[in-house]
Amino acid sequence: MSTTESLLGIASADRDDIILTVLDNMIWPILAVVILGIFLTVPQTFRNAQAIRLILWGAVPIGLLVLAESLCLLSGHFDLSIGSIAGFSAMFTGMVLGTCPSCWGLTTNPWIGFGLIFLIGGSVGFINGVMIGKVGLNPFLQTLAFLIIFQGAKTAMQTQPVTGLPSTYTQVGASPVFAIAVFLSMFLLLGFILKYTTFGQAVYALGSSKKSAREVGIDTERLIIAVYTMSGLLSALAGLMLTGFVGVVPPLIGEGLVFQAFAGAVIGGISLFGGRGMITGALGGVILIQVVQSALNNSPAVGATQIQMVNGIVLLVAILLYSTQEKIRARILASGSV
Amino acid sequence: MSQNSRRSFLKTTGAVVGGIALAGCSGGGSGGSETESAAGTTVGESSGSGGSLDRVGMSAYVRGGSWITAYIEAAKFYAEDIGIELDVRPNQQSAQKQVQDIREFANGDYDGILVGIWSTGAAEGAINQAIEGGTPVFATNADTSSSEIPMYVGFSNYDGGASSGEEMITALEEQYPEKSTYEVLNIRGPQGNQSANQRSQGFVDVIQESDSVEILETLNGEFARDNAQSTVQEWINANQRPDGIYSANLSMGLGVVQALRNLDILVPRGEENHIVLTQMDGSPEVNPLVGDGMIDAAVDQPNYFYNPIALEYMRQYVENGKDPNVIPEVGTEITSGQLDIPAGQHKGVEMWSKAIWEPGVVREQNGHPWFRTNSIVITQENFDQPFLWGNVWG
Repeated sequence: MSTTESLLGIASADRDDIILTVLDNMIWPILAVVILGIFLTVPQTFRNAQAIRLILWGAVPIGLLVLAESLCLLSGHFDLSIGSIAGFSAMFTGMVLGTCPSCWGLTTNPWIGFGLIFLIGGSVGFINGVMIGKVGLNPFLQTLAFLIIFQGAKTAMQTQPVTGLPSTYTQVGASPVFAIAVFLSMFLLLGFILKYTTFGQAVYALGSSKKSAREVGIDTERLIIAVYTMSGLLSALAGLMLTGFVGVVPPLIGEGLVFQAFAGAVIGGISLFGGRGMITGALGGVILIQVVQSALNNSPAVGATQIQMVNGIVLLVAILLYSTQEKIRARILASGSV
Repeated sequence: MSQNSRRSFLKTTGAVVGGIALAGCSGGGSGGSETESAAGTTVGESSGSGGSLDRVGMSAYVRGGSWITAYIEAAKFYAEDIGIELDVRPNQQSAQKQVQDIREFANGDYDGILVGIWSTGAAEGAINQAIEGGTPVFATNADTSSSEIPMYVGFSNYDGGASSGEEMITALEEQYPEKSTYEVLNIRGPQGNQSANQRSQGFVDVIQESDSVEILETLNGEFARDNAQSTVQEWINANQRPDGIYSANLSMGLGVVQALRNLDILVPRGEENHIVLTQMDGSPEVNPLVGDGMIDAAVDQPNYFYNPIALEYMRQYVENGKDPNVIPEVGTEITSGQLDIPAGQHKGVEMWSKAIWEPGVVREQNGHPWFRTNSIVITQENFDQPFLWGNVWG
């Protein structure tokens, strides 16, 4: 091989590396383009710093659920019960702490509340993990069952808003700065764990191929349990934030959020088939959804009855973009230059 | 004679008459019913030629908050008071489940069926089959498209929205007498939802008739507190402070209050920069906010009367051999002098002691009579009264 050919080969590999990096982080240029478009068409969406704070605050509960779902998706699994876990853990804890006439009112200590909500969320997630990892149940069926069970259990406990919660307990989600800080910290923390720890690498390995992961010595059963337990804890945190956001525990808390969580993860580039995607991408997905939603609400050109349709179109466009991305990636990898 | 024993007597009489009729010894007449047909008659006294109403199946939405709890529990209390066994089944937010339950009720040992329809057109076939099979079906709260049912009992979502619009205009003029024009937000429920459309349309129509009030924007709060909260706070921050906000249900109304609180612009009526808030529905949380002046007016439904009214007419209907003449004619106005819903002691109050449903007006909807109850406007003058369901079901 001549020197020229060798140099051309290196240049080609470098170019492909750059393209792959761009593809892996595609959400950010998309987000930039969308934000620019909103600046031009619905500028009042970003009228002041408060506007950005409000958008991010509104993104906190769904963002944490996106994080929970992304973790499961990266490991090659998924969790339909995240919204139910968020709702059930928030409702159960609310019943213990609340002072409404139909509440249990066992204690008003907010710290017991914090412990309890995470204990419930973590426990439900742990059971999900055991049933899927150890018992071998299909993740779809197991988490579907828990979605139904815990949504039903929430209703069995209470059909009215739970009020009279300790202010320290609700303040976590009611304080926008704190809530946003927790939200971003969780993304950073999980992003760090997944990228720089053996646990994170094991999650990606499991998501890429369970068989290969086993062959390289990863205890896949324990890993699945850990993933679902973390997913349960993040769901409980979402329930806590949702409670603070509205100031009470509404009876329908957490319902219908699982599809938004899937949408956020997919728009953020998390593969539905596992092993591919970045947590920072999921963060971008959440922000994109929330920014688009806010712009649609603020736009006089889009009626209230058209917003859902436009949201669906945004999701479809994102899916098409990622489908194209997958094809480009496959072509580059097949060329063997990387 | 106490209400219960009177009911028991009437039921026994009805059963005996029914039994005789079955044995072929009845003359086939109306059997000396004390209930005159149609308008202007007293419902509540009867010994008809039909059977007796002993067991009723009810299919309804049972989740979603204190409003629906009041609606369901009142049905149970009233049925218990008049000696009817009421079997409530949740529709699980599924038209299919509701259809299945209606079919099972019709196939079982039930004398009548109450339905709060989940999806307007979906249960029509099952309802018609039940009626054809001899089991009367009455709808409450949410109507069916079936023209075969003897009666639907509920308030008018459109009228409620319109009433909220009228309250909005009045409150704006009181709050800002110096202004000549006002700008308001309309927070509506999900598109495609019939109640949401009617509640929004009623409000919009009244506002559009006014020369002084303009709707700045219609926002979709999806009938949910958190959605309304985030949508309204983001909109106000991005655009401008409106003079008033209308919310089409109680959850969204509470979300709006929280949004204004978060933006630090929630002040009571009469104070400078108060944003006039009107909404549909009171509740244990809404009523105190009305008392504090944060919410100017809430148009409330007599939800704890819906099923008792339906049960009263159903009882008459069954005891009179399913005689359609016991149902008031379309166009009739009904008052408490004509329809007796006896008070009962429940949850620490004399429930049904004040007929907040009156006057009821019988209209036609979907080809059947609609007993349209009145609504009640909650203001600072009445927010703490025991006849408001929100002060009973806390």
